[in-house]
Amino acid sequence: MGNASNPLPSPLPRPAGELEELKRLWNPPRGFRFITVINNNYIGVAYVGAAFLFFVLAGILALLMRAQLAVPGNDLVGPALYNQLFTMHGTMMMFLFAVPAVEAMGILLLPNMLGARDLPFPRLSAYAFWAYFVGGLVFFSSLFFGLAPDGGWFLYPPLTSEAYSPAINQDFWLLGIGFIEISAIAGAIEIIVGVLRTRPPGMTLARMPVFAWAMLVFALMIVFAFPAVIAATLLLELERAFGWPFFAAGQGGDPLLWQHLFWFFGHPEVYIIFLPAAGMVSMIVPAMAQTPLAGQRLVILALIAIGFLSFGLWVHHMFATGIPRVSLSFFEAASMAVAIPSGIQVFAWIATFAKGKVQLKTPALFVLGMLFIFVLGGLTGVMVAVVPFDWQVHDTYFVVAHLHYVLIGGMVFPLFAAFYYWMPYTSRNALSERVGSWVFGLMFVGFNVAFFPMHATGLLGMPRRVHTYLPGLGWDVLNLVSTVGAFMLAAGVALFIVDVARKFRMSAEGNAGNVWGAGTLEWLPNGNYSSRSIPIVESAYPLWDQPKLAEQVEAGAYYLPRSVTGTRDTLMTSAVDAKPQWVLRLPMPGWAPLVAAWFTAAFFLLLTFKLVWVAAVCGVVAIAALLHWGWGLDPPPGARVDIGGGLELPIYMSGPQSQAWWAMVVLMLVSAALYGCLLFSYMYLWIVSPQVWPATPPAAAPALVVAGLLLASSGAVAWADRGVRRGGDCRALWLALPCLAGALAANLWAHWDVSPKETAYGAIVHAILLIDGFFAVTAAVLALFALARRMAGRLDPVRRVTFDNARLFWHYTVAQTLAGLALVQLFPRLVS
Amino acid sequence: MTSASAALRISSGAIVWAVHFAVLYGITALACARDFPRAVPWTVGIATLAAALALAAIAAHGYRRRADFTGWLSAGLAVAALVATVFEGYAGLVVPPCA
Repeated sequence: MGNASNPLPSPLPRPAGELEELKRLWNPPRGFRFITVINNNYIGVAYVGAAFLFFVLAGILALLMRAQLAVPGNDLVGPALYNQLFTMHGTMMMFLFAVPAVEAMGILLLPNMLGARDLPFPRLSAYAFWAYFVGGLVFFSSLFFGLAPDGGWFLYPPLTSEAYSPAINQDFWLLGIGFIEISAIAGAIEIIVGVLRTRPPGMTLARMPVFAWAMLVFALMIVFAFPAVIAATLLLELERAFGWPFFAAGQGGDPLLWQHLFWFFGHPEVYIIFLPAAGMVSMIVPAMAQTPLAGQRLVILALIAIGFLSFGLWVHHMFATGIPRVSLSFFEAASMAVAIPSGIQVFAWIATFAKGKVQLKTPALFVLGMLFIFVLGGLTGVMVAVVPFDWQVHDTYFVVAHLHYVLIGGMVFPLFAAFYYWMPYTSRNALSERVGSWVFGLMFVGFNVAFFPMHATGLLGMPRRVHTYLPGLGWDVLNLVSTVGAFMLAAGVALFIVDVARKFRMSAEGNAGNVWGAGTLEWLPNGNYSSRSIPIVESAYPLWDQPKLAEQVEAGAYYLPRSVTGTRDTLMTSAVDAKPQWVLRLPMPGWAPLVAAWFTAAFFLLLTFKLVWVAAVCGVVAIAALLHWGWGLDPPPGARVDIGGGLELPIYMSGPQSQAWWAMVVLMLVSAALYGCLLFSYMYLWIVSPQVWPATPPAAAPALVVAGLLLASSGAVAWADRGVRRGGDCRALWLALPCLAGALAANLWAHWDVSPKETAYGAIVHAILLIDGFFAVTAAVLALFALARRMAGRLDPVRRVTFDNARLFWHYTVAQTLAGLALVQLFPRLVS
Repeated sequence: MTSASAALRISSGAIVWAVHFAVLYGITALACARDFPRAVPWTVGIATLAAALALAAIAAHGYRRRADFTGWLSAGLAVAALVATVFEGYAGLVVPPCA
């Protein structure tokens, strides 16, 4: 590259003013408007900081619990508060720390690692961050009012049902966490489209950094796993608020349905947080050993294999619930099978250390600590995957030890390694090596002192979630040692915070730079605009294999050395081969994502207090802000632009190459997963309680009317599509709207005589109808939005992305509603 | 190669594994709930054989195209899915149904 036969895309030297223009466009807003910042560098750091704050807060809750358990019969914390403490500790660590922390690292690192200027939906990242941060803080404050959830982080009914938990504590969990999941899904959509479509030319899938692979698998897992817990929270909230008996055994419901839905999310969740951490380790180890990752392709394979196999493990959290043994055996086998790809990664890291020349700096120390802790956690994991052993240690401190070895070894230690490793990327100074080895020492020793004895405490029979215990059971010394270890671990974290306060000075342009001599693109010289020009990549470690790359990129010798559209822009490439396709104009900062996020948070949290009307007003404001936000998107098409190397690319794209189309496809996958969970719930409840299913099937005539109207509405949308192609006329959507409204009404009429409150059958049928209604209303809003844009002259045969979004979502909604209708109508006929 | 065909190629092993797993779990739950344990070994056996054959075919197809990363990946993932599928199916055959 760069020789006479194959010159660099942009001639040097670059004209004066180009770089200044880039800097001006990418500067964050000044003054109080700074909070509207959307650039991934700033949002990423804020996101990581917020996640770390929740880690510290949840850690303090853990210290309170350890202080309570230090001696038998302690009365520092009473049982009611203790219940809230362990519930909040688990919930916050999983939902407010672990998932957001790794998602935040993705938002911070991916654009630079992929040579992109930013992720494709920067405002969506900002929205996800603000919704999570505001919602998380309010959620945490519930502790100060005695209103924090107290049913365990998994919130099992019937303990958490209205009858046994009449106060609003559980609602805080259901609504508070429910919408933080929406924030995680928003981030996942951003990451999938970003990883697949904004890579630099030459970065094929095989050359993609392992961290990007890990984040891709992570985001896809969120797409399929998170809808399960959203479905579960929806059903439990419906049961609590309106008495629809999904989990009430007396009316044909089943508490185990909650456990299935929860763990269908909850087990993949473990890998959802482990895989990105493993991806980070796979970036750190080669830099520390100064040699490419051993078996890189096998590691990528292992990441994907873990991604799908982890969906077959959920029942191993339910071994003690009385499920047939043969069913348990499938999950037992899957639990052991997933150890194979996990092992591949561990061996790859060890082999990389072995073949390279290791710099034993703090990131390497944390990786070595992680290897020890995570492997031990993995071994006890294989032990508890054995059903008879699990029955012995179920709900004891052995499991507490196991899960902390897996999660702290698999996620927290890698994250600290990542903090040390990437600090010079985002700050003027690296963190102190001397302090770093103390931080590592305290955390590593403290962790093992705290958690290793718990294996014994558990084998001696101490149950989880007890606020105190009697003396003389052999648990006293072990508990005291654990408490000492926990405070030692906390001292390590406190020392880290001191060092961060001393050393961290955020700066993209003046960062400390490539202090480790790493080989991947995030270490290119960069600014708020990411790298000056977008390189052509020839290997998985371009900075090692293309020695002049950093210098040439900084001089602007590659693609897009300037803004070619007069605004923020980035290169869109093909998903498999990363061939340049078009230039995406990115949005500038604005208030809409913030207002939408704040009012989304307010909507859900006010619902917790049953302040329905105030919540509704907040919901309307949030939707208005979203529409305002959407109105400014889909800018007018313009002439093709020269990005360098003689490549002239369009600056507008609709259809399957557009970023919006991809986001919509991912959203449809999320929707399908959610709807699939509801259909699963229908089948599950029928298996458990066939007696509450109707002896005579529902009448067929109304269902046929529903199906006819749904198909007619899709036909009208197809007709509108033809109109848009021929001149931008989408008025046929006016015809589609009453058809869909009619279908909804007829569907409700068809099931009018089925009460949602009497039996689980009625409840699940109405839950499906409710979701059908939600999708129909959303499709209608998108259609009205497209019509409004047509009237405002913002929709024509070329500029048609908003119409395409509405069209895709509409057809999807029709297909989904038909699937639900088929199940609800045909299944009772089949079995009656 | 289009994105859709690459995605299908890479995920085909995972899809077969997921369908096999869902069949095992669903049929077992139903057979045990309706007191029809005889259905379990037959279903497990037939489903596992069918899935194993499909995965072997996917692996062979991918291996022939291993020069391309997506081909290699699809073969590797099909092998991983095959190991898990056979392991799970075997467990289903040796454990007494519905005990």
